[in-house]
Amino acid sequence: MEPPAESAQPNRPTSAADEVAEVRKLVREAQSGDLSAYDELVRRHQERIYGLCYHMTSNHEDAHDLAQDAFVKAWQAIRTFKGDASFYTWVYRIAVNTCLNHLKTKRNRTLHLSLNDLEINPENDPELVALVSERTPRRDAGLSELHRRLNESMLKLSEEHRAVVTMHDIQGMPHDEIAKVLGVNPGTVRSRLFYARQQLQAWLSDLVG
Amino acid sequence: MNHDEQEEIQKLLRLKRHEVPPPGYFRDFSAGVMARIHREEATRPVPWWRRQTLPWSPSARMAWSNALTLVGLGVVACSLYITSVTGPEGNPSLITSQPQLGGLGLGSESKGSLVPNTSLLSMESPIEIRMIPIRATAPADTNPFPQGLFQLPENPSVRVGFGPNR
Repeated sequence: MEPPAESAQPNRPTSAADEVAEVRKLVREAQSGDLSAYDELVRRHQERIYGLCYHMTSNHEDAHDLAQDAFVKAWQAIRTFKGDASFYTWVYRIAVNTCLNHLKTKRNRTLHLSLNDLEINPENDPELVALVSERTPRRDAGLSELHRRLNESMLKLSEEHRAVVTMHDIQGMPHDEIAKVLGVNPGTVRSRLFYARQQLQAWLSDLVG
Repeated sequence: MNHDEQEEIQKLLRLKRHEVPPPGYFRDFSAGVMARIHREEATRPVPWWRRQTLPWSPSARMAWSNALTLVGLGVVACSLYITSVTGPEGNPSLITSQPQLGGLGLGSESKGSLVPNTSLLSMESPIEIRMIPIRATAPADTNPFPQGLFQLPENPSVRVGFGPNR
């Protein structure tokens, strides 16, 4: 008997190599104008692209619009995609640039948070449960308060520093791939990451302990 | 900032991984992207050269047929013009396209042509036409011509031509 996940998505490849080959095929079809192939590419990358936009803006509505913007721009430029990098890196770069442009044009606008629209359920992660319950000095501060403080601190960072923290510490992207996305040296990524963490540590010192 | 403090910050930031949209949020996300793509392509002006390379739409088909008709008419007009100027043998003379009337015994017959091969339009020296007086004779049973009716000057000539000296 097949597992439910596979039976629910019978067309999805099973191995990483199959996934890469499948994405390449979809990209070729999209480059020849097949919108249904591009729809499948969007479905495969939408959650990570949305996550990037959300962590860059800390705003649900902005993240939604920016993620859609990024996919629309990627469709308009898909014929220029040469395949030097993976499609994911390419579309991720478009999304990062879209977010950075958005943040620069609206730098003076009052940023607002919309955590109520999101589901926060770290109870599924034992490590984080331990972090919140044991290492947080202010135990009365609820999870929402913790997230609010985190997002406020993230928004205090410059766009470039926020981007590397989002990609590495939140989304788990390796340094080399971040360097490819941003078009900088891996050393620059590491130094930006160190500086950003230093600032966050200063702003969240009462939570870090 | 030491390594442990960095680790603490990283753990704290990992909390943000749990900030995810409600279940089902992404169900219609790609449909929204597709709708935006359709909207953008409908409003974005397509360059004329791109429009003609699109798959056979009625407008593109009509544009191509019009263009081909115009090109065909142009080719026909050019070939007619070249034929009228150079003639069928490529000799740039207007006279050679005239019908050959040499068989009628008129004009110069040196090359079987009615008129000289030099074009009238290219003539620069005037032609001298000499008028030769003829003696009018009348039959004996008719009345004689009145005196002085055909008196012409001796050796008369009239200069005619198209050259600049005229």
